[in-house]
Amino acid sequence: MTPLSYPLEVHMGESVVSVTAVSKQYVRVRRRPGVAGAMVDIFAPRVERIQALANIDLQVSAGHCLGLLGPNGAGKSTLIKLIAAILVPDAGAIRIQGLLPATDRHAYLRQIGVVFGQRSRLIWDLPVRDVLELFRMLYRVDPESYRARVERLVNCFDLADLIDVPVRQLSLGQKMRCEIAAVLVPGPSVLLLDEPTVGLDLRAQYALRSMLSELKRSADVAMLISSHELHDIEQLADSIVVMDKGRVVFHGDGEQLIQTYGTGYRVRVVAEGGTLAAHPGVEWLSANELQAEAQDTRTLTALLQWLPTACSAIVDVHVTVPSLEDALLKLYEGRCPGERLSPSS
Amino acid sequence: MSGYLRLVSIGYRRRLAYRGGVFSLIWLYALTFGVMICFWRFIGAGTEGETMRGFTYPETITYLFLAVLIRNFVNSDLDIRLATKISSGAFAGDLILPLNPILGNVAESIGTSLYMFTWGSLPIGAALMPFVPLVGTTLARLPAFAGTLVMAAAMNIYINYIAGLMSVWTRRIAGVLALKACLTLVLSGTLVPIAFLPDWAASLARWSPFASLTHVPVLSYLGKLSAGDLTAALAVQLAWMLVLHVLAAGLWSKARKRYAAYGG
Repeated sequence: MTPLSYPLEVHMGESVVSVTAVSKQYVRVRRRPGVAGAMVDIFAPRVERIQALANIDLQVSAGHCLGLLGPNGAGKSTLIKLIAAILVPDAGAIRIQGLLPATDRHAYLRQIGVVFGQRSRLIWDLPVRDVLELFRMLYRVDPESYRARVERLVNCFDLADLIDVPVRQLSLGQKMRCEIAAVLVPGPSVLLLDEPTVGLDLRAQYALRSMLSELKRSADVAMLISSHELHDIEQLADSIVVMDKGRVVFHGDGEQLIQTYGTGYRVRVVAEGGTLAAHPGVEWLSANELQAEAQDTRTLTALLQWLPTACSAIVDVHVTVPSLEDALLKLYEGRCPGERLSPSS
Repeated sequence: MSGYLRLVSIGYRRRLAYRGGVFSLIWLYALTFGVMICFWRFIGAGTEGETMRGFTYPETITYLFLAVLIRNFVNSDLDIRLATKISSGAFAGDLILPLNPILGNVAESIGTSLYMFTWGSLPIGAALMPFVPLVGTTLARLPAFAGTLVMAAAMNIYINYIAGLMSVWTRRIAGVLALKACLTLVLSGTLVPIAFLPDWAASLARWSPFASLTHVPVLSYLGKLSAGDLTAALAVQLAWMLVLHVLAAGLWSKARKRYAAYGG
């Protein structure tokens, strides 16, 4: 793939997106039950305020990708809509390259590319090229760099056969590739991806992820991705923010998340015959079957070295590697006690 | 600016992308014009030399012919465009573009109007012209005609914009749009000349913003407005334009707040 580069003076480490103490409330209507209730509601509607986001602080720097995780209704989409300046925060400020949407909306918007997996922004009846041309004009890209950039994007996202076909005749995966290419035409300094792989088949997901990680490596773009597809986050995100009920409940990288909330390595061994010898973390299920847990690779190695001394002949070994999924389920479970989510124990 | 022009072209080509759509458009306009012409030819048969409420038969049919032509020229799909975008949430996509979201939609709608004009009312109107005893105009009347026509187009944008924006507050925007379409059809003089309405309805129509949309330009074409009448009509147009502008701006800021409060 050809590397993409943008004529933007962004220094590594300097934050491009800065979200400071942002809060947002929504209005929600509460309905009374039944026909009589509906009639009462006409005259005396009950309205309540929902805290969609509470005091959120985030920084994303150029060349960095932040993964947003959290259950439905955690506030991820609200946060993305706030950064995209679709919504206005009740309190706090969002800056991109030091710009505020309230004071210079258009300059602010020229810095960002937004991709909604659930909603295409391509023009349904016309070829993709029309959107690219429109974006060239709206984002004031000069013809020289436009031509060069489109050529690189066509190569990188493999669009040569798609660019002159009406959007309605493209598959979901093809549309998503075009969509991302389109938002990259203006050369944004921030890329917001809201569930970019939703609905895509495995191959399309895989292709999209490798394109995005290539883009992250080659272009100095700050990325923010929200997804329920954990592979997206694992492959793309340099750090992870887990949100729940409008608050940040975890901020760190994937390793830290797994270490803090993960279950460790789980080992299950079936042997011909065992000595039933004791070892830390080992539980004998029967005379020839044992189950063990190891928090890290060091304990795991120690355990695997001990195994031959305890069992005469090993028939089967199954090691479950700690995953982001397990850690997340543990984290969600801890926040909603009584709701058993994780498959372990 | 070039971005908005691009949107005009996009609005035009989006509709032209479907061949079936072009054929149905031609049929639709053939029917609209055809029915109108047949109906009024029947009414006007054998009325040579007579006038109805100050209109001879050729003047009446010219009035209506022009009214339908102008209506189709200045009218646009801005109302439906905004309504669908707001209710489907696609409007968020417009809000993240570095352009004025309203002007962007206006530009695309102008493209649609141009499509309807070039592929619908223009060819059909031209084809039917020989069958209608049209009354010509004078060079002196043209500036007034052009001026009132421009005002009509601008007012039409405001009316459509306000109607479309209503979908922020209602789930059944179809009702609002149908009401608007009926009011426009009757009070602008596109269905029957305003002079033919009962007196109370005629004066209601003349003072409404809808008369400015077709009635006023058509009367200036026919030379039925004295200098005083024309000034008065322009003043009414201007006054309505101001009212509509204030209304539209107020509604937009309210809509924006409501959109934010409910989470888009």
